[in-house]
Amino acid sequence: MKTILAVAYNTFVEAKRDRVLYSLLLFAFLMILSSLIFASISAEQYNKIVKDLGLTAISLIGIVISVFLGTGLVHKEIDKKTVYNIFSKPVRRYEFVVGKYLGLSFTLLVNTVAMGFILFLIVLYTELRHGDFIRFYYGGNYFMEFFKAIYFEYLEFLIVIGIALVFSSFTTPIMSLLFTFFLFVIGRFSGDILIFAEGVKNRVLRGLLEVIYRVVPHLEKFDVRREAVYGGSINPELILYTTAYAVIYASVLVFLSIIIFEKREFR
Amino acid sequence: MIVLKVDNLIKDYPTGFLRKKVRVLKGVSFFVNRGEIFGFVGPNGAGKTTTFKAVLGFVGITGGSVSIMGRPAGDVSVKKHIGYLPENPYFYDYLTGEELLRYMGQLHGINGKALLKRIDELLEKVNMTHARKVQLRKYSKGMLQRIGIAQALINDPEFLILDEPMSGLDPIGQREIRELILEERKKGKTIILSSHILSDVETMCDRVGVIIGGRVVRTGELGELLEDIHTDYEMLLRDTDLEVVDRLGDLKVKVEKRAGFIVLRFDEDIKSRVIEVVSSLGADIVSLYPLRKSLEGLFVKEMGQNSGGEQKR
Repeated sequence: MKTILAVAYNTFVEAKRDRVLYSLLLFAFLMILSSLIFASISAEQYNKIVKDLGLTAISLIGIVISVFLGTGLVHKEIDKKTVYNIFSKPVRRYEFVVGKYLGLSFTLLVNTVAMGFILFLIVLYTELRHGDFIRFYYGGNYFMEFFKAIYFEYLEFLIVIGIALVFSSFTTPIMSLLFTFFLFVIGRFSGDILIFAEGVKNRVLRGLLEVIYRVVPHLEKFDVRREAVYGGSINPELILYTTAYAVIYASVLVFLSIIIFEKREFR
Repeated sequence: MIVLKVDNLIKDYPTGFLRKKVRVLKGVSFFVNRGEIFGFVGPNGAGKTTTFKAVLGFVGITGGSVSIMGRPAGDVSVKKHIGYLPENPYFYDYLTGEELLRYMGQLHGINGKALLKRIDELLEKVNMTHARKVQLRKYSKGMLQRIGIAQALINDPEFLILDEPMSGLDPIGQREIRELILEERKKGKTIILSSHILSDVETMCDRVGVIIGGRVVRTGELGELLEDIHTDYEMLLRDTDLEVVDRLGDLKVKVEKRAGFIVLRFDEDIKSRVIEVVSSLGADIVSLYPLRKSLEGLFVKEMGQNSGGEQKR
Protein backbone atom coordinates (compact mmCIF):
# COMPACT_ATOMS: atom_id res chain seq x y z
CA MET A 1 0.00 0.00 0.00
CA LYS A 2 2.88 2.34 0.82
CA THR A 3 4.30 1.75 -2.64
CA ILE A 4 0.98 2.64 -4.25
CA LEU A 5 0.79 5.82 -2.20
CA ALA A 6 4.37 6.77 -3.10
CA VAL A 7 3.58 6.38 -6.81
CA ALA A 8 0.30 8.27 -6.39
CA TYR A 9 1.97 11.12 -4.56
CA ASN A 10 4.64 11.43 -7.22
CA THR A 11 1.94 11.52 -9.91
CA PHE A 12 0.24 14.34 -8.04
CA VAL A 13 3.52 16.23 -7.68
CA GLU A 14 4.16 15.86 -11.39
CA ALA A 15 0.74 17.27 -12.27
CA LYS A 16 1.20 20.11 -9.82
CA ARG A 17 4.62 21.01 -11.20
CA ASP A 18 3.26 20.72 -14.71
CA ARG A 19 1.13 23.66 -13.66
CA VAL A 20 -2.13 21.79 -14.03
CA LEU A 21 -3.56 23.72 -11.15
CA TYR A 22 -3.19 26.89 -13.21
CA SER A 23 -6.41 25.74 -14.79
CA LEU A 24 -8.03 27.11 -11.65
CA LEU A 25 -6.96 30.59 -12.62
CA LEU A 26 -8.43 30.05 -16.07
CA PHE A 27 -11.64 28.93 -14.45
CA ALA A 28 -11.82 31.91 -12.12
CA PHE A 29 -11.10 34.23 -15.01
CA LEU A 30 -13.83 32.69 -17.16
CA MET A 31 -16.36 32.93 -14.39
CA ILE A 32 -15.62 36.54 -13.57
CA LEU A 33 -15.69 37.42 -17.23
CA SER A 34 -19.08 35.77 -17.68
CA SER A 35 -20.46 37.51 -14.60
CA LEU A 36 -19.55 40.82 -16.17
CA ILE A 37 -21.13 39.90 -19.49
CA PHE A 38 -24.42 38.76 -17.99
CA ALA A 39 -24.59 41.42 -15.32
CA SER A 40 -27.49 43.26 -16.95
CA ILE A 41 -30.12 40.51 -16.89
CA SER A 42 -32.58 39.76 -14.12
CA ALA A 43 -31.36 38.36 -10.83
CA GLU A 44 -33.23 35.07 -11.20
CA GLN A 45 -31.90 34.42 -14.67
CA TYR A 46 -28.50 35.65 -13.79
CA ASN A 47 -28.00 33.14 -11.01
CA LYS A 48 -29.03 30.27 -13.17
CA ILE A 49 -26.71 31.29 -15.94
CA VAL A 50 -23.74 31.64 -13.60
CA LYS A 51 -24.39 28.24 -12.06
CA ASP A 52 -24.98 26.51 -15.37
CA LEU A 53 -21.93 28.08 -16.90
CA GLY A 54 -19.81 27.33 -13.86
CA LEU A 55 -20.79 23.68 -13.73
CA THR A 56 -20.17 23.32 -17.45
CA ALA A 57 -16.75 24.92 -17.10
CA ILE A 58 -15.80 22.62 -14.19
CA SER A 59 -16.83 19.62 -16.26
CA LEU A 60 -15.00 20.79 -19.34
CA ILE A 61 -11.75 21.64 -17.57
CA GLY A 62 -11.88 18.39 -15.59
CA ILE A 63 -12.46 16.31 -18.71
CA VAL A 64 -9.64 18.03 -20.58
CA ILE A 65 -7.21 17.39 -17.68
CA SER A 66 -8.38 13.77 -17.32
CA VAL A 67 -7.94 13.06 -21.02
CA PHE A 68 -4.65 14.86 -21.52
CA LEU A 69 -2.89 13.73 -18.36
CA GLY A 70 -4.57 10.32 -18.37
CA THR A 71 -3.38 9.39 -21.84
CA GLY A 72 0.23 10.20 -20.92
CA LEU A 73 0.01 8.60 -17.50
CA VAL A 74 1.72 5.30 -18.18
CA HIS A 75 3.08 5.92 -21.65
CA LYS A 76 5.22 8.85 -20.57
CA GLU A 77 7.01 6.74 -17.97
CA ILE A 78 7.77 4.06 -20.54
CA ASP A 79 8.76 6.56 -23.20
CA LYS A 80 11.06 8.50 -20.88
CA LYS A 81 12.38 5.27 -19.39
CA THR A 82 11.56 6.22 -15.84
CA VAL A 83 9.97 2.77 -15.52
CA TYR A 84 13.49 1.38 -15.21
CA ASN A 85 13.97 3.25 -11.96
CA ILE A 86 10.60 2.11 -10.68
CA PHE A 87 10.78 -1.56 -11.56
CA SER A 88 14.36 -2.06 -10.45
CA LYS A 89 12.87 -1.47 -7.00
CA PRO A 90 10.55 -3.97 -5.31
CA VAL A 91 7.47 -2.60 -7.06
CA ARG A 92 4.80 -4.81 -8.58
CA ARG A 93 3.30 -3.70 -11.84
CA TYR A 94 -0.22 -3.51 -10.48
CA GLU A 95 1.00 -1.26 -7.66
CA PHE A 96 2.38 1.14 -10.24
CA VAL A 97 -0.81 1.22 -12.32
CA VAL A 98 -3.08 1.68 -9.31
CA GLY A 99 -0.74 4.35 -7.93
CA LYS A 100 -0.77 6.27 -11.20
CA TYR A 101 -4.57 6.10 -11.34
CA LEU A 102 -5.03 7.24 -7.75
CA GLY A 103 -2.49 10.03 -8.23
CA LEU A 104 -4.36 11.57 -11.12
CA SER A 105 -7.72 11.01 -9.40
CA PHE A 106 -6.41 12.90 -6.41
CA THR A 107 -5.12 15.71 -8.62
CA LEU A 108 -8.58 16.06 -10.10
CA LEU A 109 -10.17 15.91 -6.69
CA VAL A 110 -8.09 18.86 -5.52
CA ASN A 111 -8.78 20.71 -8.75
CA THR A 112 -12.52 20.05 -8.70
CA VAL A 113 -12.93 20.98 -5.04
CA ALA A 114 -11.06 24.21 -5.67
CA MET A 115 -13.11 25.07 -8.75
CA GLY A 116 -16.32 24.18 -6.86
CA PHE A 117 -15.28 26.48 -4.07
CA ILE A 118 -14.56 29.37 -6.44
CA LEU A 119 -17.94 28.85 -8.10
CA PHE A 120 -19.66 28.64 -4.72
CA LEU A 121 -18.20 31.98 -3.72
CA ILE A 122 -19.32 33.59 -6.97
CA VAL A 123 -22.84 32.20 -6.66
CA LEU A 124 -23.03 33.21 -3.02
CA TYR A 125 -21.93 36.69 -3.90
CA THR A 126 -24.50 37.08 -6.66
CA GLU A 127 -27.27 35.68 -4.46
CA LEU A 128 -26.50 38.19 -1.77
CA ARG A 129 -26.04 41.06 -4.14
CA HIS A 130 -29.42 40.45 -5.69
CA GLY A 131 -31.04 40.53 -2.28
CA ASP A 132 -32.04 36.92 -2.26
CA PHE A 133 -30.58 36.47 1.14
CA ILE A 134 -33.79 35.15 2.68
CA ARG A 135 -34.11 32.33 0.22
CA PHE A 136 -30.45 31.58 0.67
CA TYR A 137 -30.82 31.54 4.42
CA TYR A 138 -33.96 29.46 4.70
CA GLY A 139 -33.57 27.13 1.80
CA GLY A 140 -31.16 24.73 3.49
CA ASN A 141 -31.05 22.42 0.51
CA TYR A 142 -30.62 25.14 -1.96
CA PHE A 143 -26.90 24.67 -2.32
CA MET A 144 -26.90 20.95 -1.76
CA GLU A 145 -28.07 20.14 -5.27
CA PHE A 146 -25.33 22.33 -6.58
CA PHE A 147 -22.64 20.41 -4.66
CA LYS A 148 -24.16 17.11 -5.70
CA ALA A 149 -23.80 18.14 -9.33
CA ILE A 150 -20.10 18.84 -8.82
CA TYR A 151 -19.72 15.47 -7.12
CA PHE A 152 -21.34 13.77 -10.12
CA GLU A 153 -18.95 15.57 -12.43
CA TYR A 154 -16.04 14.23 -10.42
CA LEU A 155 -17.39 10.69 -10.72
CA GLU A 156 -17.38 11.14 -14.47
CA PHE A 157 -13.71 12.20 -14.36
CA LEU A 158 -12.90 8.96 -12.54
CA ILE A 159 -14.25 6.97 -15.48
CA VAL A 160 -12.57 9.15 -18.10
CA ILE A 161 -9.19 8.78 -16.35
CA GLY A 162 -9.77 5.02 -16.36
CA ILE A 163 -10.48 5.00 -20.10
CA ALA A 164 -7.38 7.07 -20.78
CA LEU A 165 -5.32 4.76 -18.57
CA VAL A 166 -6.42 1.67 -20.50
CA PHE A 167 -5.42 3.17 -23.84
CA SER A 168 -2.29 4.69 -22.36
CA SER A 169 -1.05 1.28 -21.28
CA PHE A 170 -0.77 -0.07 -24.81
CA THR A 171 -0.75 2.71 -27.38
CA THR A 172 0.80 6.09 -28.10
CA PRO A 173 -0.50 9.26 -26.46
CA ILE A 174 -1.97 10.56 -29.73
CA MET A 175 -3.88 7.35 -30.36
CA SER A 176 -5.01 7.16 -26.73
CA LEU A 177 -6.16 10.74 -26.98
CA LEU A 178 -8.28 9.97 -30.03
CA PHE A 179 -9.68 6.73 -28.60
CA THR A 180 -10.44 8.26 -25.24
CA PHE A 181 -12.13 11.27 -26.75
CA PHE A 182 -14.11 9.02 -29.09
CA LEU A 183 -15.30 6.82 -26.25
CA PHE A 184 -16.08 9.87 -24.16
CA VAL A 185 -18.35 11.29 -26.87
CA ILE A 186 -20.09 7.92 -27.35
CA GLY A 187 -20.46 7.70 -23.59
CA ARG A 188 -22.08 11.10 -23.39
CA PHE A 189 -24.62 10.05 -26.02
CA SER A 190 -24.96 6.41 -25.00
CA GLY A 191 -28.71 6.80 -24.46
CA ASP A 192 -29.10 7.69 -28.12
CA ILE A 193 -27.52 4.39 -29.14
CA LEU A 194 -30.43 2.54 -27.59
CA ILE A 195 -33.00 4.85 -29.18
CA PHE A 196 -31.28 4.39 -32.50
CA ALA A 197 -31.13 0.60 -32.05
CA GLU A 198 -34.87 0.43 -31.53
CA GLY A 199 -35.42 1.87 -34.98
CA VAL A 200 -33.08 -0.57 -36.71
CA LYS A 201 -34.80 -3.47 -38.52
CA ASN A 202 -31.75 -5.66 -39.10
CA ARG A 203 -31.55 -7.92 -36.03
CA VAL A 204 -27.82 -8.46 -36.17
CA LEU A 205 -27.11 -4.77 -36.32
CA ARG A 206 -29.63 -4.10 -33.59
CA GLY A 207 -28.02 -6.76 -31.39
CA LEU A 208 -24.63 -5.22 -32.03
CA LEU A 209 -25.85 -1.75 -31.09
CA GLU A 210 -27.36 -3.11 -27.90
CA VAL A 211 -24.06 -4.75 -26.97
CA ILE A 212 -22.24 -1.48 -27.61
CA TYR A 213 -24.81 0.29 -25.47
CA ARG A 214 -24.15 -2.09 -22.60
CA VAL A 215 -20.36 -1.88 -22.85
CA VAL A 216 -19.75 1.86 -23.25
CA PRO A 217 -19.83 4.04 -20.14
CA HIS A 218 -23.16 5.81 -19.65
CA LEU A 219 -21.65 9.19 -19.02
CA GLU A 220 -24.89 11.10 -19.45
CA LYS A 221 -25.91 9.72 -16.07
CA PHE A 222 -23.42 12.08 -14.50
CA ASP A 223 -24.98 15.18 -15.94
CA VAL A 224 -27.39 16.52 -13.34
CA ARG A 225 -26.88 20.16 -14.11
CA ARG A 226 -30.54 20.67 -15.01
CA GLU A 227 -31.64 19.44 -11.58
CA ALA A 228 -29.00 21.51 -9.85
CA VAL A 229 -29.67 24.73 -11.71
CA TYR A 230 -33.35 24.76 -12.54
CA GLY A 231 -34.66 23.08 -9.42
CA GLY A 232 -35.25 19.42 -8.96
CA SER A 233 -33.90 16.98 -6.53
CA ILE A 234 -31.14 14.48 -6.76
CA ASN A 235 -32.25 11.73 -4.40
CA PRO A 236 -29.92 9.58 -2.28
CA GLU A 237 -30.72 6.44 -4.28
CA LEU A 238 -29.48 8.14 -7.42
CA ILE A 239 -26.32 9.26 -5.67
CA LEU A 240 -25.69 5.76 -4.37
CA TYR A 241 -26.44 4.14 -7.70
CA THR A 242 -24.29 6.56 -9.69
CA THR A 243 -21.39 6.31 -7.24
CA ALA A 244 -21.49 2.52 -7.39
CA TYR A 245 -21.66 2.62 -11.17
CA ALA A 246 -18.64 4.94 -11.42
CA VAL A 247 -16.55 3.02 -8.90
CA ILE A 248 -17.27 -0.36 -10.48
CA TYR A 249 -16.76 0.89 -14.03
CA ALA A 250 -13.49 2.64 -13.12
CA SER A 251 -12.29 -0.44 -11.22
CA VAL A 252 -12.88 -2.61 -14.26
CA LEU A 253 -10.89 -0.14 -16.36
CA VAL A 254 -7.99 -0.11 -13.91
CA PHE A 255 -8.08 -3.89 -13.79
CA LEU A 256 -7.98 -4.03 -17.58
CA SER A 257 -4.99 -1.66 -17.61
CA ILE A 258 -3.19 -3.89 -15.13
CA ILE A 259 -3.72 -6.96 -17.33
CA ILE A 260 -2.31 -5.10 -20.34
CA PHE A 261 0.53 -3.54 -18.38
CA GLU A 262 1.62 -6.86 -16.85
CA LYS A 263 2.52 -8.05 -20.32
CA ARG A 264 4.29 -4.88 -21.43
CA GLU A 265 7.98 -5.08 -22.22
CA PHE A 266 10.12 -2.05 -21.40
CA ARG A 267 12.64 -2.07 -24.19
CA MET B 1 28.89 -18.32 -4.16
CA ILE B 2 27.24 -17.21 -7.36
CA VAL B 3 25.04 -14.09 -7.22
CA LEU B 4 24.00 -13.97 -10.85
CA LYS B 5 23.95 -16.84 -13.28
CA VAL B 6 22.84 -16.27 -16.84
CA ASP B 7 22.60 -19.44 -18.85
CA ASN B 8 22.14 -19.52 -22.61
CA LEU B 9 19.88 -16.46 -22.48
CA ILE B 10 18.00 -15.81 -25.69
CA LYS B 11 15.90 -12.74 -26.43
CA ASP B 12 13.85 -12.02 -29.52
CA TYR B 13 12.23 -8.67 -30.19
CA PRO B 14 9.39 -8.40 -32.64
CA THR B 15 9.96 -5.51 -35.01
CA GLY B 16 8.03 -3.67 -37.67
CA PHE B 17 4.42 -3.97 -38.69
CA LEU B 18 4.64 -7.71 -39.33
CA ARG B 19 6.21 -8.29 -35.91
CA LYS B 20 9.14 -10.04 -37.50
CA LYS B 21 11.43 -11.41 -34.82
CA VAL B 22 14.97 -10.19 -34.42
CA ARG B 23 17.25 -12.17 -32.12
CA VAL B 24 19.12 -9.72 -29.93
CA LEU B 25 20.61 -12.16 -27.44
CA LYS B 26 21.75 -15.39 -29.00
CA GLY B 27 22.66 -17.47 -26.01
CA VAL B 28 24.34 -15.30 -23.40
CA SER B 29 26.05 -17.23 -20.60
CA PHE B 30 28.12 -15.96 -17.67
CA PHE B 31 28.08 -15.81 -13.91
CA VAL B 32 29.03 -13.31 -11.25
CA ASN B 33 30.59 -14.41 -7.96
CA ARG B 34 29.78 -12.84 -4.64
CA GLY B 35 32.07 -9.96 -3.75
CA GLU B 36 33.58 -9.40 -7.15
CA ILE B 37 33.35 -6.70 -9.75
CA PHE B 38 32.38 -8.22 -13.05
CA GLY B 39 32.94 -6.13 -16.17
CA PHE B 40 30.55 -6.64 -19.01
CA VAL B 41 32.17 -5.19 -22.10
CA GLY B 42 31.20 -5.03 -25.71
CA PRO B 43 30.53 -2.61 -28.53
CA ASN B 44 27.31 -0.61 -28.72
CA GLY B 45 24.37 -2.80 -29.58
CA ALA B 46 26.09 -6.02 -28.50
CA GLY B 47 23.33 -6.76 -25.98
CA LYS B 48 24.71 -5.51 -22.66
CA THR B 49 21.70 -3.40 -21.77
CA THR B 50 19.25 -5.98 -23.07
CA THR B 51 20.87 -8.59 -20.85
CA PHE B 52 20.39 -6.32 -17.82
CA LYS B 53 16.78 -5.67 -18.82
CA ALA B 54 16.12 -9.38 -19.04
CA VAL B 55 17.80 -10.01 -15.69
CA LEU B 56 15.62 -7.36 -14.03
CA GLY B 57 12.45 -8.55 -15.72
CA PHE B 58 11.84 -5.39 -17.80
CA VAL B 59 11.56 -7.66 -20.80
CA GLY B 60 10.60 -11.30 -20.89
CA ILE B 61 13.08 -13.95 -21.94
CA THR B 62 12.68 -16.06 -25.07
CA GLY B 63 14.94 -18.89 -23.97
CA GLY B 64 17.55 -19.92 -21.45
CA SER B 65 17.51 -19.05 -17.79
CA VAL B 66 18.51 -16.38 -15.32
CA SER B 67 19.09 -16.91 -11.64
CA ILE B 68 19.64 -13.81 -9.55
CA MET B 69 20.39 -14.46 -5.90
CA GLY B 70 18.75 -17.81 -6.35
CA ARG B 71 15.52 -16.43 -7.80
CA PRO B 72 14.29 -16.17 -11.40
CA ALA B 73 14.66 -13.01 -13.52
CA GLY B 74 12.53 -10.08 -12.45
CA ASP B 75 11.60 -11.56 -9.08
CA VAL B 76 10.22 -8.70 -6.99
CA SER B 77 11.46 -9.96 -3.61
CA VAL B 78 15.05 -10.02 -4.82
CA LYS B 79 14.92 -6.36 -5.86
CA LYS B 80 15.07 -5.31 -2.22
CA HIS B 81 18.74 -6.26 -2.38
CA ILE B 82 19.55 -4.83 -5.79
CA GLY B 83 20.68 -1.41 -6.93
CA TYR B 84 20.40 -0.52 -10.61
CA LEU B 85 21.73 2.38 -12.60
CA PRO B 86 20.15 2.53 -16.07
CA GLU B 87 22.11 3.57 -19.12
CA ASN B 88 21.72 7.33 -19.73
CA PRO B 89 19.51 7.65 -16.70
CA TYR B 90 16.47 9.79 -17.12
CA PHE B 91 14.64 10.80 -14.02
CA TYR B 92 11.59 12.84 -13.24
CA ASP B 93 12.92 16.25 -14.20
CA TYR B 94 10.34 18.07 -12.10
CA LEU B 95 11.77 16.55 -8.91
CA THR B 96 14.76 17.86 -7.03
CA GLY B 97 17.69 15.54 -6.35
CA GLU B 98 16.54 15.10 -2.79
CA GLU B 99 12.94 14.39 -3.78
CA LEU B 100 14.04 11.77 -6.28
CA LEU B 101 16.04 9.96 -3.63
CA ARG B 102 13.10 10.17 -1.24
CA TYR B 103 10.73 8.68 -3.83
CA MET B 104 13.17 5.90 -4.72
CA GLY B 105 13.70 5.17 -1.03
CA GLN B 106 9.96 4.99 -0.43
CA LEU B 107 9.65 2.42 -3.20
CA HIS B 108 12.09 0.34 -1.19
CA GLY B 109 9.90 0.75 1.87
CA ILE B 110 12.39 3.05 3.59
CA ASN B 111 10.73 5.93 5.42
CA GLY B 112 11.11 8.54 8.09
CA LYS B 113 14.38 9.43 9.71
CA ALA B 114 16.24 6.43 8.34
CA LEU B 115 15.48 7.65 4.83
CA LEU B 116 16.49 11.25 5.53
CA LYS B 117 19.76 10.07 7.02
CA ARG B 118 20.46 7.83 4.06
CA ILE B 119 19.72 10.67 1.61
CA ASP B 120 22.18 12.96 3.42
CA GLU B 121 24.86 10.27 3.36
CA LEU B 122 24.41 9.52 -0.31
CA LEU B 123 24.32 13.12 -1.47
CA GLU B 124 27.55 13.61 0.40
CA LYS B 125 29.02 10.47 -1.10
CA VAL B 126 28.33 11.43 -4.70
CA ASN B 127 29.23 15.03 -4.04
CA MET B 128 25.80 16.44 -4.78
CA THR B 129 24.81 18.05 -1.51
CA HIS B 130 24.99 21.48 -3.12
CA ALA B 131 22.35 20.54 -5.69
CA ARG B 132 19.90 18.72 -3.43
CA LYS B 133 17.21 21.38 -3.81
CA VAL B 134 17.73 21.86 -7.54
CA GLN B 135 15.26 20.35 -10.00
CA LEU B 136 16.74 17.56 -12.10
CA ARG B 137 15.88 19.44 -15.29
CA LYS B 138 18.70 21.80 -14.40
CA TYR B 139 21.25 19.03 -13.83
CA SER B 140 24.12 18.41 -16.23
CA LYS B 141 24.69 14.91 -17.59
CA GLY B 142 27.40 14.27 -15.05
CA MET B 143 25.14 15.39 -12.21
CA LEU B 144 22.38 13.09 -13.41
CA GLN B 145 24.84 10.23 -13.46
CA ARG B 146 25.87 10.96 -9.88
CA ILE B 147 22.30 11.18 -8.63
CA GLY B 148 21.61 8.00 -10.59
CA ILE B 149 24.31 6.21 -8.67
CA ALA B 150 22.98 7.63 -5.42
CA GLN B 151 19.50 6.26 -6.12
CA ALA B 152 20.99 2.87 -6.97
CA LEU B 153 22.62 2.82 -3.54
CA ILE B 154 19.59 4.05 -1.57
CA ASN B 155 18.77 0.59 -0.17
CA ASP B 156 22.42 -0.27 0.54
CA PRO B 157 22.15 -3.11 -1.97
CA GLU B 158 24.01 -6.40 -1.91
CA PHE B 159 24.23 -6.50 -5.66
CA LEU B 160 24.79 -3.50 -7.91
CA ILE B 161 23.97 -3.51 -11.59
CA LEU B 162 25.53 -0.47 -13.24
CA ASP B 163 24.94 0.19 -16.91
CA GLU B 164 27.69 2.46 -18.19
CA PRO B 165 28.38 4.12 -14.83
CA MET B 166 31.12 6.34 -16.24
CA SER B 167 29.27 7.81 -19.17
CA GLY B 168 28.88 11.55 -19.15
CA LEU B 169 31.41 12.10 -16.39
CA ASP B 170 34.53 14.22 -16.63
CA PRO B 171 37.84 12.63 -15.56
CA ILE B 172 37.49 13.80 -11.98
CA GLY B 173 33.95 12.50 -11.82
CA GLN B 174 35.08 9.21 -13.30
CA ARG B 175 37.74 8.84 -10.65
CA GLU B 176 35.25 9.58 -7.88
CA ILE B 177 32.78 7.04 -9.15
CA ARG B 178 35.54 4.48 -9.60
CA GLU B 179 36.56 4.96 -5.99
CA LEU B 180 32.96 4.68 -4.91
CA ILE B 181 32.55 1.39 -6.76
CA LEU B 182 35.76 0.00 -5.28
CA GLU B 183 34.58 1.08 -1.85
CA GLU B 184 31.37 -0.89 -2.31
CA ARG B 185 33.38 -3.97 -3.19
CA LYS B 186 35.48 -3.48 -0.09
CA LYS B 187 32.24 -3.65 1.88
CA GLY B 188 31.64 -7.05 0.35
CA LYS B 189 29.13 -5.96 -2.29
CA THR B 190 28.88 -7.65 -5.65
CA ILE B 191 28.94 -5.47 -8.74
CA ILE B 192 28.37 -5.98 -12.42
CA LEU B 193 29.07 -3.04 -14.64
CA SER B 194 28.92 -2.62 -18.34
CA SER B 195 31.20 -0.31 -20.18
CA HIS B 196 32.90 0.38 -23.41
CA ILE B 197 35.53 2.48 -21.67
CA LEU B 198 37.98 -0.37 -21.44
CA SER B 199 40.45 1.27 -19.11
CA ASP B 200 37.73 1.48 -16.44
CA VAL B 201 37.10 -2.19 -16.70
CA GLU B 202 40.81 -2.93 -16.59
CA THR B 203 41.40 -0.92 -13.46
CA MET B 204 38.34 -2.08 -11.53
CA CYS B 205 37.12 -5.48 -12.58
CA ASP B 206 38.12 -8.84 -11.21
CA ARG B 207 36.53 -10.74 -14.04
CA VAL B 208 35.33 -9.74 -17.44
CA GLY B 209 32.80 -11.00 -19.94
CA VAL B 210 33.10 -9.89 -23.54
CA ILE B 211 29.80 -9.71 -25.39
CA ILE B 212 29.71 -9.31 -29.12
CA GLY B 213 26.71 -9.65 -31.40
CA GLY B 214 24.45 -11.05 -28.69
CA ARG B 215 26.88 -13.69 -27.46
CA VAL B 216 29.38 -13.74 -24.65
CA VAL B 217 32.49 -14.75 -26.50
CA ARG B 218 34.97 -14.78 -23.62
CA THR B 219 34.80 -14.70 -19.84
CA GLY B 220 37.45 -14.99 -17.23
CA GLU B 221 39.96 -13.15 -15.14
CA LEU B 222 41.58 -10.25 -16.90
CA GLY B 223 45.09 -11.73 -16.81
CA GLU B 224 43.81 -14.95 -18.35
CA LEU B 225 42.03 -13.19 -21.17
CA LEU B 226 44.96 -10.98 -22.01
CA GLU B 227 47.50 -13.77 -22.05
CA ASP B 228 47.44 -14.37 -25.78
CA ILE B 229 47.00 -10.77 -26.78
CA HIS B 230 49.99 -9.30 -28.57
CA THR B 231 51.47 -6.06 -27.48
CA ASP B 232 52.36 -3.31 -29.87
CA TYR B 233 55.55 -1.32 -29.41
CA GLU B 234 56.31 2.23 -30.30
CA MET B 235 59.78 3.46 -31.24
CA LEU B 236 60.70 7.12 -31.49
CA LEU B 237 63.45 8.23 -33.88
CA ARG B 238 64.79 11.63 -34.80
CA ASP B 239 63.20 12.70 -38.06
CA THR B 240 66.62 13.19 -39.62
CA ASP B 241 66.80 9.40 -39.89
CA LEU B 242 64.29 9.24 -42.72
CA GLU B 243 66.23 6.67 -44.72
CA VAL B 244 65.42 4.07 -42.05
CA VAL B 245 61.87 4.10 -43.22
CA ASP B 246 62.80 2.85 -46.68
CA ARG B 247 64.94 0.07 -45.22
CA LEU B 248 62.14 -1.33 -43.11
CA GLY B 249 60.59 -2.48 -46.38
CA ASP B 250 59.12 -5.93 -45.77
CA LEU B 251 58.59 -5.53 -42.03
CA LYS B 252 55.06 -4.76 -40.87
CA VAL B 253 55.66 -1.37 -39.35
CA LYS B 254 53.37 1.64 -39.19
CA VAL B 255 55.23 4.87 -39.72
CA GLU B 256 54.07 8.31 -38.78
CA LYS B 257 55.68 11.72 -38.25
CA ARG B 258 54.92 13.40 -34.98
CA ALA B 259 56.34 16.66 -33.63
CA GLY B 260 59.86 16.35 -34.93
CA PHE B 261 60.06 12.60 -34.53
CA ILE B 262 59.40 9.53 -36.58
CA VAL B 263 57.20 7.06 -34.78
CA LEU B 264 57.36 3.38 -35.67
CA ARG B 265 54.64 1.08 -34.39
CA PHE B 266 54.99 -2.70 -34.63
CA ASP B 267 54.04 -6.00 -33.03
CA GLU B 268 56.28 -7.51 -30.37
CA ASP B 269 57.03 -10.48 -32.64
CA ILE B 270 59.24 -8.35 -34.86
CA LYS B 271 60.68 -6.18 -32.11
CA SER B 272 64.21 -7.54 -32.31
CA ARG B 273 64.26 -7.36 -36.13
CA VAL B 274 63.24 -3.72 -36.07
CA ILE B 275 65.85 -2.85 -33.46
CA GLU B 276 68.43 -4.68 -35.55
CA VAL B 277 67.62 -2.80 -38.73
CA VAL B 278 67.43 0.58 -37.03
CA SER B 279 70.70 0.08 -35.10
CA SER B 280 72.55 -1.17 -38.18
CA LEU B 281 71.79 2.15 -39.84
CA GLY B 282 73.04 4.07 -36.86
CA ALA B 283 69.75 5.87 -36.35
CA ASP B 284 69.17 7.72 -33.11
CA ILE B 285 66.59 5.84 -31.04
CA VAL B 286 64.97 8.31 -28.69
CA SER B 287 62.75 5.79 -26.97
CA LEU B 288 61.18 2.37 -27.23
CA TYR B 289 58.20 1.40 -25.13
CA PRO B 290 55.41 -1.16 -25.12
CA LEU B 291 51.88 0.04 -25.67
CA ARG B 292 49.94 -1.39 -22.77
CA LYS B 293 48.72 -4.93 -23.17
CA SER B 294 45.06 -4.23 -22.96
CA LEU B 295 41.51 -5.25 -23.25
CA GLU B 296 41.36 -3.19 -26.37
CA GLY B 297 43.53 -5.76 -28.09
CA LEU B 298 41.25 -8.53 -26.94
CA PHE B 299 38.27 -6.56 -28.01
CA VAL B 300 39.61 -5.92 -31.47
CA LYS B 301 40.61 -9.54 -31.86
CA GLU B 302 37.22 -10.87 -30.80
CA MET B 303 35.47 -8.31 -32.94
CA GLY B 304 37.44 -9.56 -35.88
CA GLN B 305 36.37 -13.13 -35.23
CA ASN B 306 32.73 -12.34 -34.58
CA SER B 307 30.52 -10.44 -36.89
CA GLY B 308 30.29 -7.16 -35.00
CA GLY B 309 27.42 -5.60 -33.13
CA GLU B 310 23.87 -5.37 -34.20
CA GLN B 311 21.49 -2.51 -34.30
CA LYS B 312 21.19 -0.63 -31.05
CA ARG B 313 17.88 -1.23 -29.34
